[in-house]
Amino acid sequence: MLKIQNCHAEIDNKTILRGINLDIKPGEVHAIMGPNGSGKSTLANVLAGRGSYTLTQGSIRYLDQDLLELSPEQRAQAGLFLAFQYPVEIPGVSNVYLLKASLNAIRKARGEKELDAMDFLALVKEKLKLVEMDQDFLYRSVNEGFSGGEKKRNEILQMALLEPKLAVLDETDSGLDIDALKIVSNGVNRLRSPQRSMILITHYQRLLDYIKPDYVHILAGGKIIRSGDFTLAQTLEKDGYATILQEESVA
Amino acid sequence: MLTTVLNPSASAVAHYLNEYQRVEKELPGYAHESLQSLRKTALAHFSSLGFPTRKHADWKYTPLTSFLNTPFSINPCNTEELYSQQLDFRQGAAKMSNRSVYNIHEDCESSGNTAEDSSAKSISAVLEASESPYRLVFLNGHFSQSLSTISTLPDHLIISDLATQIKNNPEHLVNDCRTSAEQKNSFIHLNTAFIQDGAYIYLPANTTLVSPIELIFINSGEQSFVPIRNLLIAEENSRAVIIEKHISLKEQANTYFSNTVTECILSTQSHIEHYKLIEESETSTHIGNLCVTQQANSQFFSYSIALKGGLVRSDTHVKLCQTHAQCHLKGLYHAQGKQHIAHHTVIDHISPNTHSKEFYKGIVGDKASAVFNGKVIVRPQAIKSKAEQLNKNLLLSRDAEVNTKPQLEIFVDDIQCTHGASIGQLDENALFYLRARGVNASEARQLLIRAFIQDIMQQMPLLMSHASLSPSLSYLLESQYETV
Repeated sequence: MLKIQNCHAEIDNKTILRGINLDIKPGEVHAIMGPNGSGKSTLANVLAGRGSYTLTQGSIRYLDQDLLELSPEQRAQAGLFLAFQYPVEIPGVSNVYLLKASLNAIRKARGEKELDAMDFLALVKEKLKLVEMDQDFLYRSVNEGFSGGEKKRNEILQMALLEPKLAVLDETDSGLDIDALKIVSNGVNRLRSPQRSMILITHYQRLLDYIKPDYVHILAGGKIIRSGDFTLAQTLEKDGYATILQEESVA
Repeated sequence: MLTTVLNPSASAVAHYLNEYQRVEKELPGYAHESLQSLRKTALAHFSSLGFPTRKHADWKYTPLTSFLNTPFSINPCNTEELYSQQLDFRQGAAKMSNRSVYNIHEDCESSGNTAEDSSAKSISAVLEASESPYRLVFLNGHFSQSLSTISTLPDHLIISDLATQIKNNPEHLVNDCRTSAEQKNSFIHLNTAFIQDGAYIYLPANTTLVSPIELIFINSGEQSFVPIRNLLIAEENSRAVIIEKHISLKEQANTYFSNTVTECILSTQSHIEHYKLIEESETSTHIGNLCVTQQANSQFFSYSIALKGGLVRSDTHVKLCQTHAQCHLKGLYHAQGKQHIAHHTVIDHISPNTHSKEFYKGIVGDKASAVFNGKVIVRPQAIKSKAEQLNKNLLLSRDAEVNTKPQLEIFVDDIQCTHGASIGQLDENALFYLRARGVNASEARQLLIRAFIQDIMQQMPLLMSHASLSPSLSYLLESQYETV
């Protein structure tokens, strides 16, 4: 699905990623944890194709294509989805318009026929239930005046609708209260499937109590310094990053 | 050898004085003394004021050089010429797209040959989009009887071409044209000197017109000077909607000068909505002045939509003469290529409890430039007045330019005044967000541009229904709040 090899990336001539290696197979859920400034969000942005980041070394293969050759929209059309850490407010563009434009762009790229208004509305209503959102959300401007929790639910709604092959969730748990966290996690869990892979980027183990990952990676200083299974997250929660960082530097 | 080189402004003034000499006798109402004196006075004002230069604060950002260097020439009306002009439009139209057409030329005096008929497309398409029972069409500034429709009018209501009024009732007209004469604006005086045609609308007291009155000005000529004068008199408690459209059929090579003055005189309790759609050719000069005087409790709504033109200057002067008069000025402009679009507004709060509200939004791309200058005067006696002003601009390229300037002259304390201006670019984060959802870059840009004008569009009630008239408008408007 996704193969990252020796990935070095920088922004504004500042090197952030210093040799990431990651191999994700269909259906796997990988959690990437790490302290502030370790490069977690940079990795997410590099995957989604934000222009301000440049890859200086290494390669990223996605579904046997060179991911870096693709524009952000081509990546989305190829089934890559980034749930934003800070979903953008777009006044004047209704949520429903974005959802429809997005779904139809992706369907078109997949060679499927575009949905008409009726079919689309039926589908989106069904997906709304998944994240326990009211229909009113559809007719508001994208994320405008949404609470933190509503914005994150909106991201999951988009993901549910677009049915990506690889979803990257960038700190989707941050800013959520416990109820919203449950709703969001529940939504994500219901989207797990043997064909769909996910990368969960988070600071805290808390999210992983709800969405159980197959693998946990610890990112620090632009590198993955340790990988393991779910128990690694528990160790981390108990001992903190400092202990692991120390152990790694000694080793 | 010594040569005296006149500056461009002085030589252009001399040119128009010569033009006046040349056509004086052919202008309508030549024999009428008071009209003649109105013209002469205006011409004298024009001559002494001269054309503004960039040293004039109000013209600092509007470059007139290329306009001043072009010797535009007036073409006084004559029926044979009118016919040939129509022919010209048809030939011009033939070069345009082959979109579906309806031949509305059945009522034309002449039965042209087949080639002409099949080419009568674009003008028909334009008129087809208009459904109003009151429609006046002007070709290069001259009224076209055959293209206009006026349904039966109730008693005393007048919707007519100005030339006819000049013939029938010049005295009246001279009085009504005086309001604009106070302006120290050489383009208004130039227009007054050359008054020939335009629309004349008289709304008697307590009249409400349900359908809008459409005034369609179609321009084509090469280096032609087209003065247009419109006059609207709204008596007590009358109500109407006027739509002024200034369009060009041939896209490129039309270097004409359209000089328009629209005067609106609003009596007590009257309610007027005025739309002005500017879609002139890309090499034209459009200098328009809208002069409004308002009596007690009257309401005036101005909607200025400027989408195309080489140099477009749209000035609005409103005098809130009596208490509780209200004006709402809204504008949308879209300048591309090397176009220049400038809106200047002057609102004069003369009496207490008057209210003005301005909201203008602009999109400026390529190497185009735009200006918004909003002047608000609140006189000492205009206590408890309220003035609000907001101008927002979206720049689409590095070479695009916007100058926005609020100008408040306030001589009294007990009032409320607010103003705001902004110039921004497309939000890169929003653009990336849309692209990350699979929307193509160009589509994402369009979406954000349309989102930018969403609010101003919603405040222009009739705009949506007239979007079909103009490709650039419908392109801007393509609804994103579609009912899914």
